[in-house]
Amino acid sequence: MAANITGKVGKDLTIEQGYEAARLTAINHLAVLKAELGSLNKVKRIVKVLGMVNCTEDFKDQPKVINGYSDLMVEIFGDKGKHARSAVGMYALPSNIAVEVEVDC
Amino acid sequence: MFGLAYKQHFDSTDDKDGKLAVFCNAPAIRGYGYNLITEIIGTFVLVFGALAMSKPASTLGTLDALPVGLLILGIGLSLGGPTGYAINPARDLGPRIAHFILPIKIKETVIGVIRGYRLLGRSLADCLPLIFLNLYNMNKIFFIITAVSFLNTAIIAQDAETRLKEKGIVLPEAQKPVANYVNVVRVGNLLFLAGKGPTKPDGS
Repeated sequence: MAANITGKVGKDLTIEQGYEAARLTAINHLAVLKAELGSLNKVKRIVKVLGMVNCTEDFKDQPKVINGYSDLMVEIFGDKGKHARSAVGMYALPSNIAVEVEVDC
Repeated sequence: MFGLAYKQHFDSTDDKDGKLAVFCNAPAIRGYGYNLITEIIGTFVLVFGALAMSKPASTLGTLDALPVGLLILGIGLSLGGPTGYAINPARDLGPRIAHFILPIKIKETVIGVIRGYRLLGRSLADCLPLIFLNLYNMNKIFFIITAVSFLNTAIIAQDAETRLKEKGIVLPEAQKPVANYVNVVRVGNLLFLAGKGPTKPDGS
């Protein structure tokens, strides 16, 4: 499945495609964590997530998109993967990516 | 059927304990205080040993459980006499019920589990599932329940790397920062990660 990771959710992408992009973003963050810590088993807790969705003005389902990120974190870390979160809509994101996420853990 | 296999032997003895011992084991010397100490040690060694085992980088499938199996064997060989080595409920439970012997050793199991976890710096909450499981423990059966709950909770459920592998997710190289910032800032025990976007499986 060719992942669609650029474009505005609500116009170029569906919620499901946005979800998939958020999931891929989570995988990128896992790669950063692994590079920093050596092993993901050292992660004690995912604390805080800020999920930004590149979406149209009338799009209101940002949480459903960022769930792609959150679901993967919980799948991988279990209860330790549960986190506080904001999921917001953005007018534009760098390189027109569909989703950008910040995380503290 | 199995009874028939032993019929002649049963006929030639009046020793009830001896007959029972064909199907399940009891301590060589019954003394609840000393048996309890042995159980505490055994459970502690099992919990401590299994938790201390590190997951190999490459998986050998079901053989991954071999170290735990050897640990149980070691415990059985070294403590089997004083406390009765019986870890297979499939074999043990039926005969015990039939024999109306269901000594439920809750306390020593709980103590052993907590000590094992404590020494490894795990929280009390972490070991609760194990304790609950062990509340079902009837005599030596806790060995097998403990081992199974280890494989499930300690190794599989608590191991992010394993779950990642199970899901077939291969992590890419960490993206390099594309401007004047760093990927991670560590403050004490907290990591603050820079915002990341998605990449396609080919890395673009």
